[in-house]
Amino acid sequence: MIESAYETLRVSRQAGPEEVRRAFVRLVRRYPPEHFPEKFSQIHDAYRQLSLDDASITDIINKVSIMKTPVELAGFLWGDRRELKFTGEAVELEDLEPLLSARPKTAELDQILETIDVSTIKWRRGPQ
Amino acid sequence: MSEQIYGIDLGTTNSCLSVLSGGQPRVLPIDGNGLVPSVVSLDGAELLVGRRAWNRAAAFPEQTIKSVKRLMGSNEKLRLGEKTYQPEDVSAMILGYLRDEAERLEGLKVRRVVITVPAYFSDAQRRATIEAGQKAGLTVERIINEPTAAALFYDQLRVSGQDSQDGEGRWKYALVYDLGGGTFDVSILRLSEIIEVLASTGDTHLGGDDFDARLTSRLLETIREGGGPDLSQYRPAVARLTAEAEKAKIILSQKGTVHIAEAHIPTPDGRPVTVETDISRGEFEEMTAYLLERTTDFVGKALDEAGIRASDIDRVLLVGGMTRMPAVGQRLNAIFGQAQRPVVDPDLSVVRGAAIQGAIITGENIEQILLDVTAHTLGLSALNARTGNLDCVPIIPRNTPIPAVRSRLFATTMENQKKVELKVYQGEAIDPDQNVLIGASFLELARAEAHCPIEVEYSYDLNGMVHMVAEQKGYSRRTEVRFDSRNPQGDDFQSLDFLDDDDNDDGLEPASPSRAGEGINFITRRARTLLEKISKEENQAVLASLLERYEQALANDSADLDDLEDELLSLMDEI
Repeated sequence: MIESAYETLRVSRQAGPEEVRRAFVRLVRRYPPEHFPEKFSQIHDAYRQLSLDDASITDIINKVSIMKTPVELAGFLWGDRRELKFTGEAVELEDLEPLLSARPKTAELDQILETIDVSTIKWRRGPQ
Repeated sequence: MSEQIYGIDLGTTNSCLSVLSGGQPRVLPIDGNGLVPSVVSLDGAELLVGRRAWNRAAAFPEQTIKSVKRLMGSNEKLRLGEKTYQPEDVSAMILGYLRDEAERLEGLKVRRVVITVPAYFSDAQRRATIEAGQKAGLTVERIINEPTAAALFYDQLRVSGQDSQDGEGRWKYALVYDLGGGTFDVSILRLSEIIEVLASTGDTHLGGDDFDARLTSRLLETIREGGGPDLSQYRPAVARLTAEAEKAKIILSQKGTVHIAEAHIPTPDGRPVTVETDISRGEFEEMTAYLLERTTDFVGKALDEAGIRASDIDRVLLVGGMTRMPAVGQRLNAIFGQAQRPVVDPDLSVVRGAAIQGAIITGENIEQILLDVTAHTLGLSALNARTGNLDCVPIIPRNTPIPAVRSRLFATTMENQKKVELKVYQGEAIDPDQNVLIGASFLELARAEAHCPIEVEYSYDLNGMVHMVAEQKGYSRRTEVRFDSRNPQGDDFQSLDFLDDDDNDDGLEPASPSRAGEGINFITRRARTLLEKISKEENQAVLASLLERYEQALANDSADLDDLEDELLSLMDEI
């Protein structure tokens, strides 16, 4: 999901807040909610994830904290769960780091991830 | 060119109708100045609406209905002569009057409308408003929030250069303070190339009527203190005094003191009394200070929710007749000393914005792009495994831009659970009982282990209506509910029961946006408008040829449609 947000907004992984915002405004002007409700929803979701205001952090925390299985968590973080390869090893939280480090307040998210019963998370991201 | 869409402000005190002509919203001069009192009165067999009904309000309170907006969405029955009406019936009479007068005065056929509502209106209040429109024979194309409509009108002034610009390309934060006859809203917006509502809050039962009521109590007290009877329960007297209070309030916005002298106030025993007193602006401000205090509390709350400080606000827009009270301006100055206060008509900005919204829907206006938000949190009640309490779990948090689609996963509590109850609540409280239930449904389940995941998805459309889909994951048991005001239990849901063994989770992905319909028209329309505007010939030729290829691709639904659309949109961004 976070992965695909970059694609939806058509920005690089290194994009800062200003660039993310510019991309969002440009896309909204192209696809206004009035005429493209579904597309707008996707664009806004992506913007929200990449700008991570308090509301989206709460939303992510809510979602992650109720996830029971690694597949759900992975599906949320990376969108396409078919990329995942079950390896039987426990995941390291550092594995999530590359995806989260670009954004603020990851500490909060990490905290939540720590509260998940890590023993249930027995997977590793497969080679791309 | 599709038929025009009219804007209607269906206010607590006054209603008005507006239409775009030559790109500018024009208010129709119904009842003289366009401000039609939202009053209905029965005169013999004749039903009067507007100014003529208002004239009868003080003398015939039993046959007159005022401020019906405050009852919208409730089941209150209103008596008028022999008949009883629901609040939406009375609102429909007002809407019908606006429509008929537009035709009588200017021969306009009003069919499609945008109606404004307070941003803080609930789902039920919005539905009742749509129903009122339908009962009046109108097609309600959109319900939009009043402060948002006012901002839309202001934004049009801004982009057309009628407001001073500063900071090239920088956005501005604007706060709309909307204190009307019966409702209060505050919205915070960011105005740039798009108009974004960042936060919206308010109280649907706080407005000019409450200020009138304070003055009315003061007059009732004056009568008692002068040795007169207590008339507070006697409707004819209260109606007369309320009319006086309203007039006094308006005078106090202009002058430091008002002299009230009214004879022949009716009493139950048939011996009329007189009331005579002076009220100073200071006294009035003191007795209503707690009301303004409440509005500024909401201002603080809205700033918090938008995540900005008072000093970030560049513009404060005053909307609603009550903002003429000098104390309102003083209080806002104390908070936003530095912000400019553009002069917009407090009574007519909302209806003008509604007409602009109408033009956005028809595609006549392609310049302004508005992102509004939800004013209330929408949640689902679910058992909290840790505490064992039934909690309200937010699915779409307040201040989420609309249209919005959000989902959350829940789980069954027992093995082979037969069904789950789905109760949709509106409100921020964790305790469901403190929120408003807007609908309920069930999802019947296939046999499964405990903790079987149930995905619940809410959609919130541009009108502020809610649609829910619940699905038992892995078993493809689904139910869909669209909530309806006449049927709040939503039992018109269809329980889809298709078993799909080959569940590869693809169903999770959002459907690809429809290739047909309005959206594509918007792109070609935008391209055509741009073609007429651009001066550089080379650009014109490139755009024209690209547009032609795009339209061909549309007609043939060819494979390179997406690429062409991208190319076309990129080109338009650059020009």
